[in-house]
Amino acid sequence: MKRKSIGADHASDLPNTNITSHSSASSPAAAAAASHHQSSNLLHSASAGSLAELADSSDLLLPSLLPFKKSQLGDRYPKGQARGRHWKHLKQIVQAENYHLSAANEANYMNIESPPSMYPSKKYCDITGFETPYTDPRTKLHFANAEVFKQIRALPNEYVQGYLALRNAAVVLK
Amino acid sequence: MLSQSPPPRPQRQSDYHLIPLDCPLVLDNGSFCFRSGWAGEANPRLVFRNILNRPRHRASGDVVNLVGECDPSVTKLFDFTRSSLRTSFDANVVYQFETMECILDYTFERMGVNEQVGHPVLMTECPCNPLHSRSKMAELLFETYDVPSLAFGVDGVFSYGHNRQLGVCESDGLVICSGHMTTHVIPIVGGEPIMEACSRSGVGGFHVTDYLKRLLTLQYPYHMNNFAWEKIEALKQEHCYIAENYSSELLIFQDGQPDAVEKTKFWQLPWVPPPEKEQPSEEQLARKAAIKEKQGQRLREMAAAKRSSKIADLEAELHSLEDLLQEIDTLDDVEAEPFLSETGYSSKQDVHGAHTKVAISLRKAKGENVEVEKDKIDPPPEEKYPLLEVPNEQLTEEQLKEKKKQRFLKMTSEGRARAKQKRHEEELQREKDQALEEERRLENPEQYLEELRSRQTDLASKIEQRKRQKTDKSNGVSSGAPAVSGLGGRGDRLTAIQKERMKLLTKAAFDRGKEEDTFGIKDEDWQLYKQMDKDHNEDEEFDEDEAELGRLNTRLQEIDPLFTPMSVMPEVIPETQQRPLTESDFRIPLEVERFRCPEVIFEPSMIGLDQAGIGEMVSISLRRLPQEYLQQVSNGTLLLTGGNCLLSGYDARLYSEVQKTRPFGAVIKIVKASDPLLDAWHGASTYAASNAFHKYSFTKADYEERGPGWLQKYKLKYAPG
Repeated sequence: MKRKSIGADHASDLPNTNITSHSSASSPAAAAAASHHQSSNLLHSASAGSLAELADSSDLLLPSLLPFKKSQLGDRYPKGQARGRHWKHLKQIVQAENYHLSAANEANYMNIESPPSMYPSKKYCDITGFETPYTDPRTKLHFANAEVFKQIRALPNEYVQGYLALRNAAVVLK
Repeated sequence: MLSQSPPPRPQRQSDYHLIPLDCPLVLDNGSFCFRSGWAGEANPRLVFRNILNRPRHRASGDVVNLVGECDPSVTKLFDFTRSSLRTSFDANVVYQFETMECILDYTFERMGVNEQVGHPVLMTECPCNPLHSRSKMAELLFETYDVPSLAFGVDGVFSYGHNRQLGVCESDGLVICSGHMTTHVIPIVGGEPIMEACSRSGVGGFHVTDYLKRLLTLQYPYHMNNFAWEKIEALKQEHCYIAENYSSELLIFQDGQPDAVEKTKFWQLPWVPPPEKEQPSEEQLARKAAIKEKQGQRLREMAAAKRSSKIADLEAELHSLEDLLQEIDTLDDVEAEPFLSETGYSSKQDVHGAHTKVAISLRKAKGENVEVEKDKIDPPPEEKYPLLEVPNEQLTEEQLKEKKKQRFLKMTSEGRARAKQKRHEEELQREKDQALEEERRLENPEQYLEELRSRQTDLASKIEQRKRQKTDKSNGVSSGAPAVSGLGGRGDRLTAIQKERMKLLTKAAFDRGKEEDTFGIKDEDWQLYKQMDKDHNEDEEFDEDEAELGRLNTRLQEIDPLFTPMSVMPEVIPETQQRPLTESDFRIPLEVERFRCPEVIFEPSMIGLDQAGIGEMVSISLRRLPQEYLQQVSNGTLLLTGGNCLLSGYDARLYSEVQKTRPFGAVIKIVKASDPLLDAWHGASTYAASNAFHKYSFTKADYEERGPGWLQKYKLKYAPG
């Protein structure tokens, strides 16, 4: 029983997105009536193919009014209105937490991070992945053998930088 | 081979009103997947990728929110071109709460919520979640969704609890939670996590896939479009494994051991063979040849007609001139003058000149040899230039001018004669050379042939090289490197020769140095201008070489019937361009990559991250543990959970890594979670169904009363009693 009413809700809610300006101006009840009217119009004019499409997208899309929410996303952030950045990156979040003020023996996001490795990092060929002692002084790429060396010397700079970026060693111009 | 279509979108649950109100909703908010279900149930109701798409709805033109992975077929309805995948996570911390809200909207809607959420919520979070993120999440759930009460817990610990219930692991131990963005090691004592001893590295399954994707993109730039993230993720899940011993596994491939072939997997990209070109039939060929022949015939006829008409014209002119000459001959000089001016000639010589000219061109038109007779006409110089012998004093002004003219004429004709003489001598020389060569050939045919051949190859390679220099762009196309369009700027568009010229010009422009200007002291200096000239090319020398090569080729062909004049360096470049791409070009071999990419979890330095790998993290966590727990934990089980540990060989590798840091003979128990993907949810569900949940969950009023300081210290007791 309930399911049925929800389905009807869905069908009427899709065209609702069409007339957002309309609905925001009038009361929700009026908007619902208007959308109902529109949807019936649509249903009359639409062919069988577009009808199927309508059903499809109504299943994919959420209704713009969710009854269980106390404030709707659309109401808080009206469409077409510019707003500044309203979030912080993890780096900023961690910085703002002022972990240096908290007790040293307490766990926090910063101090549970694993420290650098104690072992020396191994050198691997950037192209083939093999272990290698060689580095090309010009491109700074590691290479395993003469063949790879030839190959990296022929590489365009963009690719050299791409391989370097894989191990975070690319030249970054700021 | 790869399953590419995402799982179907979850159905909207219809039994929401049947669930008792005090049954908590369990939300496992992982950075890869979001799982939602009811406390105490065996499985979550919803499992979807924790991502948000914002495509444009084609029908209405509005930007809409789509949560989870989308079936490719929805591109019919939505325009994804300007939509990028959004996630609410930075590493493993939620930071975009608007995205989070969209995802929660979707979750509650699919769970079947109609009027009010009304159920308590248990949500997972990362270990030591920053207060900012935790409080924002609490505010979102309380204020927007009006959740009655709420609790936060760590996914890895829930997973441990669940597996402990199943009897997979003991009450003490370590949980290794290898997730999408991060990997955690959390020591557990009596079911409770020791957060102070926890350690986290910023490497997870995402980094493995990303590494593989970037590696493949660099190796196969022309298949870049095929390397969508989802496809690479599927590829990783199917083929990647973790080497038990990375170095020795590498050596298998480096030394080309027989195992390497076995371990190589291929990924066949979709490839449609190009439509085959139909060979023209005999009939078509014959028709084409006939048409060509016909056209040739017509051209030949036209040319013949033109020639005959020209000959007729010239003959008519010659006749008229001959008539004119005859007429002039009959008249004397005085009478001839007005007659000549009437016909447009100034003198009798003029008419003669015109006559000879026409005669010569007629002969040329008829294809006869002209040269010989022309020489015959030349009178001896004394007759031709009579004035040259007479001293200047005896001449009038008019005659002086004439003398000058005659001297000039004489000089030019002498010059011509000299050139002719030279040519003749050269010819003689050549004949002599040929005779000499012939002699040598007869003397030792083998050696001669060898010499000829080596000369031919030398010359051919020289010419080849020059040709290449002229036409090749310098950006390494000839060396077989992948040619990428739009790589560089102006430099790429110039040929080597043009570049050389630009270099000279800039050098000249900026070379106004302090040093003394010595330009022009040597004659070669002036050659510079010749080189700078835009149209300058070394064609003369080039032509000479080419002629010599042609001569050598014909000579070789004369002597050696087997000889075929081929260029020394086969033209590689056009061949690669024209070669049709075959199925094998679309087959991507996965060799070292299969275990090279997962290796980043054990060696984060491979992606430039200065952090310890998992093996080391275990020992770090043990080091951080308070002394009293050390014995218990190190003797306990190591539980592997999180989607990343589904990679095969994970446990074996971890065993060998942990073995390095443990004392000899220590017992190491490594177990895999019963379901690495879902156990965190299972554990959370069991926990939410227990009485402990209601003890540790808090309401909105609690939160407002106790404030953020309390929330920061908020900690669930996972194993109460």
